[in-house]
Amino acid sequence: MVEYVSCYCRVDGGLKTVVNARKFVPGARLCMQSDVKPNKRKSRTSRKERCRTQAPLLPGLPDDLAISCLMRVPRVEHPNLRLVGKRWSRLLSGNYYYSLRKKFGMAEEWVYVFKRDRDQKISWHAFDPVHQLWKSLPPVPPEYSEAVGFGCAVLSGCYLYLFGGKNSVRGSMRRVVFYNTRTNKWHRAPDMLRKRHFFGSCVINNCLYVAGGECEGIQRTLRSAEVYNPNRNRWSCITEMSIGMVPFIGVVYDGKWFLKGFDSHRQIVSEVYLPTSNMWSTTGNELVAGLRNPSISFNGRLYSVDCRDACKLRVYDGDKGLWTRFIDSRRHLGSSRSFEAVALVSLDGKICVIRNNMGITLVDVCDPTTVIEIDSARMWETFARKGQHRSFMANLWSTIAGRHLKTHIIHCQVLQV
Amino acid sequence: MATREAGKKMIMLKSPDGMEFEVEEAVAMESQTIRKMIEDDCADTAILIPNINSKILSRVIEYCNKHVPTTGATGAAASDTVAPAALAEDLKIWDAEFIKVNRATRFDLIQAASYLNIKGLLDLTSQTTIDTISDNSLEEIRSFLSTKNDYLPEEEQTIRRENQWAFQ
Repeated sequence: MVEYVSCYCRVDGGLKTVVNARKFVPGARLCMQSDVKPNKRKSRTSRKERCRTQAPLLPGLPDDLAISCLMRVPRVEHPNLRLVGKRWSRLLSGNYYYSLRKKFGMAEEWVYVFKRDRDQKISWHAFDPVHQLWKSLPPVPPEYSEAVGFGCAVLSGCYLYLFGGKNSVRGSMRRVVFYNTRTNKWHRAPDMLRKRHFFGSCVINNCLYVAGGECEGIQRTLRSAEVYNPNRNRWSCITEMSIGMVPFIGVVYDGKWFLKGFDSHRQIVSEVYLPTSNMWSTTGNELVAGLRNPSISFNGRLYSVDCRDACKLRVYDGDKGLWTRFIDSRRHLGSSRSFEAVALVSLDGKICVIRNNMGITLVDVCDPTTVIEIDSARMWETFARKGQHRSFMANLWSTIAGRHLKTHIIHCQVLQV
Repeated sequence: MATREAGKKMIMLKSPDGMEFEVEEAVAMESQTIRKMIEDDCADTAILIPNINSKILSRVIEYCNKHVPTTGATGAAASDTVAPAALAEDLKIWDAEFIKVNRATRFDLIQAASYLNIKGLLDLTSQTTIDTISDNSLEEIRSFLSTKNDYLPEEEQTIRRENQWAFQ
């Protein structure tokens, strides 16, 4: 049951609908009517006092009701709202507005896609699944504009972090930056403790973990690992892995972080980290052996693609320790690179498959027969053609080169506002 | 409470400007605030609804009359009854007609819906206010909401620059 920001009356909170309940309580004791008026008057005067200094958000409405209206404004309109006036801009920069949106189920999830273009430049775009629109975003900070081997993660639902990696100017980086979805801006966060690129990363309990990878100037692969806690705004070391590793796949399942990668001798190794005891151990079970990219931990279950274009998905059966067939949509798109599934993310309570051609498919795990294809690939074509970021020569080149080679997606995330 | 078993108990609602409205209990109980009063036996004769004038109160009653569940209206769980699709469609059309009011009336209805705790009416009135924001230019939004632009030109320019990625 949704409860409302009520400016007059706070008596309806513990509403009981037990029909016969009143037989057992004397009417006078629970009479709410006498309580309503003093409450109402008090809150009204204090609000009046507060409002005396500033213009109301919506003239004619108390601010609390105005905000309960404004929280319904779709996310796509938020930049416009910011321009209406200073108070509106402040409202949309603060946490209160977004906590209300979340509380009343108005928060919207968008898909964010990072890709490397032909010229090696990193660009990123957002897809609004409700309005089915691709959106431009402020460019990534310069140190990431051509970086490789960097990590990407979301903390607190609305902050997107880029960390580590290397570029031609700085070599390996400690650097951490984050994008705030609420303000549409990039900021710096504390650097990691050590430089690394091509490492593994994951988020457990809203803390960001990184492990392994490489560092320029060091021959062997890294064993070290560290964790960032956004509440303390600090990185700290965790136990080192027992072996240096350049991870190529990782997943969080059952409270543990499973990592698989190459050691210094290009041998495949795997380790599992238990955050509660800060311990690494080696593992060789079926979960790790059968894990393929991309995969996702969704509602406590582990899913992985079973076909390059993700027309088939597998699920891990924890009791039997086996991977089993989950769905086969029987809509094989082909094995070309453009149809390759590059990421599985959780979107609006469904598993969202993202392909290299910017195509998006939604799979409802409760009803696996329902597979929703979003025509986002074609929308992308239109969007990219219209975009000012493509020069005449680039357009000409893409016409000559055909449709392959267009994008290579490197990270996908979902951010909620 | 004696007539309750008859299923058609009437409730008197009084507005501060002295008007009285006799409505069925089930209709009045569309308002969670009034429902609470009735269930706590605070409403034997008549309920005074402060702050809501007779014009707005009559519109609210009109809304509740339309939205009161038609089947099993005697039970406390009546509001949980799911209306068939056709009825829902009919209600939607009726709502759209109902909310064709001027801005001042709609804001009064928002306040009344909030005080009386009528979720459907609050959703309808708030959403209608917001729908007018979408698909309008900034100047139209400002004039519609009659809010003032308190930005200096250079401040507005800065925000537009920050926003430019979002507008593409």
